[in-house]
Amino acid sequence: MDDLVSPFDDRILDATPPAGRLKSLSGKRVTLLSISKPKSAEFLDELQRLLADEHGATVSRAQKPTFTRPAPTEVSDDVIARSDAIIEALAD
Amino acid sequence: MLRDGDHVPEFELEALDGRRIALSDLTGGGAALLVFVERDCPTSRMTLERLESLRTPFDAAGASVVAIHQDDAGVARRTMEDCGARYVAVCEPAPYETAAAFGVRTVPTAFLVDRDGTVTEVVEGWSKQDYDTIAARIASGIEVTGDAPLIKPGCASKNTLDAASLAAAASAPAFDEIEDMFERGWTDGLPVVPPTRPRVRRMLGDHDGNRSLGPVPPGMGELSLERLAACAVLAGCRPEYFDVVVTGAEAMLDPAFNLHGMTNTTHTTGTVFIVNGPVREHIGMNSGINAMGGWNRPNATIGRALRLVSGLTGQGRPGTLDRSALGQPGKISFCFAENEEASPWEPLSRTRGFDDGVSTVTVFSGDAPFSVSDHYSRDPEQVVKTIALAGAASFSPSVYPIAAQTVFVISPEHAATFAQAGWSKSELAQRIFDGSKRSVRDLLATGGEQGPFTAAMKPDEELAKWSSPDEVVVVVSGGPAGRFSAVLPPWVGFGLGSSMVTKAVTGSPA
Repeated sequence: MDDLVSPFDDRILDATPPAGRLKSLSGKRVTLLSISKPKSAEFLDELQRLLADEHGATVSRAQKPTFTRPAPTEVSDDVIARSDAIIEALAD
Repeated sequence: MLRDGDHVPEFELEALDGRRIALSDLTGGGAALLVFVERDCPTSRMTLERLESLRTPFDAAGASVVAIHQDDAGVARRTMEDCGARYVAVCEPAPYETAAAFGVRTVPTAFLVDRDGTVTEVVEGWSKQDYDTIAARIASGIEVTGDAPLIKPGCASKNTLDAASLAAAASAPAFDEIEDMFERGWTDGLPVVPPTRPRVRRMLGDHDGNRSLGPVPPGMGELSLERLAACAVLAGCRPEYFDVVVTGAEAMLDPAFNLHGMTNTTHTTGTVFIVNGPVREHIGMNSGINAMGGWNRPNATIGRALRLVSGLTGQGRPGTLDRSALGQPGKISFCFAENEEASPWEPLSRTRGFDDGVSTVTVFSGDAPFSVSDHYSRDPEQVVKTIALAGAASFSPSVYPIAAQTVFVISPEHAATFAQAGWSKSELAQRIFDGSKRSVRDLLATGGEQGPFTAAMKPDEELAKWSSPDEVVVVVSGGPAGRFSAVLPPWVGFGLGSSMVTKAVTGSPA
């Protein structure tokens, strides 16, 4: 059937592709971005230990104010600037 | 094929209303534009739609537009409706002798025939210039209107196909437009109405389809009014609902509502739309029996259209960017009208700051209804305590406070009990608030999830479920019999989640 109006914005469907995958975490700067969920700290502490001790990553932490809204641009810009990889860490 | 100056052979075909119509019937009053068409031909459908703009000026000049369909009456009727074409339509069955007598090779082909039965113009396929020439012959200054290419070729006319080809075409599985919608991923799991351009145009009415309401989170697809109309068509809305749909979309996209967060969350919250004012009656909304239960076209389709905006245009489809662990039925559609006529109090629209007589749409981030029965209490103090205890269980029974707007849908029977006691709406909200209070000792004893507040408080201190009675939002809806009310549990509170947003319906004074 032709002449249909799509409910999708096709420009969005072709948007930014995923970033390239790192071959190794050793020596890489990995930032753990907490979304401020309850008990995030315990989970991220353990994740940080595993990444540093078992994979040789240099791990730093960041936090966005609330899990209910996207990170403010100043938070995401900062995290992007200092990271080779970012883990946005959820906890539920 | 017949050309200018040729005499048209006499024919008689059956119209959609079952009448037999002869050529002499069509040319008796003046010229007739005879157009051979077929549903599976896109150019035919485009031509049918564009020629509707000639119907009225032709009629005024004593002329007529006539579609000669190479399909059965059922298909022809649906084609005319889909294309918005309201001029005369007749059907010609196989072996298409009339088309053969005219020498038709492609569809659409149009013959302008004068009252003497003489051909004066012929158009094969679509040609805007040629159709404008025809229009000018009938009445000066008229032309075919609407978006259309300058030329577009047609398809083979069925009279040119041999018996084997016709049989093969007839036996081929018909294009299933409903399944096509599923394959495109344009549904919420239920069948939808294909958003053809004629349907979308009718839905838009006088609205500018290019006007944008902004990006729809979380995927940020741009919501033009044309795209919104497509969602409204998909959902099954009628054009007269569209102003309410537009208003609901404006409310949903207000940053205060936080569509982004309430879509991405693992919580079960969904978009709840509450409609107030004269528009409810104007479009036939239900605020009585089964008020929140669908089975009413405007209630069901308006809520559904706005969910499709979120799930399709905004890419907030459950399972992808919508991460709700459980989901709930309101994620298909949740829209109802307040029963202002049965309510002893001011409508939600007045409480939200709008004048009487203004139609509004309020959007609320809410869960499926948690209904509560109170059939035995006669004292309003008892009834409100029942309702308060139900509200106290919202989000989680032991999380205190939730500090989030919470909607209470009070049935007419319960509302009458409170009104007879002389309670205003704000007094009812205060009593619901007070009725939710529990001691810290009691909360700690229930176990389960505990919020951060109780740890810092003394055992005998009391907490209410909300930070203020203003967070208790009362509406009246439902049928006249049944002592049930309901809580629509909220999403997260403390200003982190979503705020209720109310907008006036377009055309309604603000």
